[in-house]
Amino acid sequence: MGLTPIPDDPYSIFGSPQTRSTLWDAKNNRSTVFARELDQLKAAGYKQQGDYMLPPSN
Amino acid sequence: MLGSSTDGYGTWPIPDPLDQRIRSLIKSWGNLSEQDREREAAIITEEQAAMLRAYSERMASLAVRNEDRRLLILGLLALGIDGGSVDWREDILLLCLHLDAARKLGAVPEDVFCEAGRILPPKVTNVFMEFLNRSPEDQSLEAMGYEEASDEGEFRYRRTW
Repeated sequence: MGLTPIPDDPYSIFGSPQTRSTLWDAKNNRSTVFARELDQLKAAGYKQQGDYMLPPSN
Repeated sequence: MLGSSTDGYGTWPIPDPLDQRIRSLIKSWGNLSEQDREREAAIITEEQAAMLRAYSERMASLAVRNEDRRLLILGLLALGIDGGSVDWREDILLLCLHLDAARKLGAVPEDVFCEAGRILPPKVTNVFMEFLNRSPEDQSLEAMGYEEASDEGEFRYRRTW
């Protein structure tokens, strides 16, 4: 669960499947840690391509 | 106990009748043999794990209100039952509440965490111990995204994000 750096490409990151339950904790009415990670990466300029988050330079 | 009717349970006023039902389930689980506890833990779903997290957070607040150490044990058991099989990072955030609450009650946090850890998988107990060995800054409510607040005039931990 969550995000994992790719050994051969330390700037790209592989993510878990994004489903409602991995992104939103309905029992607590709040975002999950995983969703916050994704938001932070997107704010840093990463772009999602499939299950990968690619750094701004790609 | 599951389904959309319990969405938002973590934010409901404390106590709620559902707390008692979950408490009974945890106690029943605790009375199983080690083998049966492992078998039950292996089939916990993501939704059930989220319910247990919500319960755990509620019990930390209730423990402070009632000055009841046993509620901290129940809260820690709720966190560890799934053996960290879902996303353990979600659980780690809540450990700061039980640590803070234990200190507020004048209990020795290590004793509280160890008591819960006795019937939890070693993997979970290790996470508990690693958390207790963190620097105070990395154990703080602030670092984990919590603050002390009140709900209907009573103490409650509240997530800041």
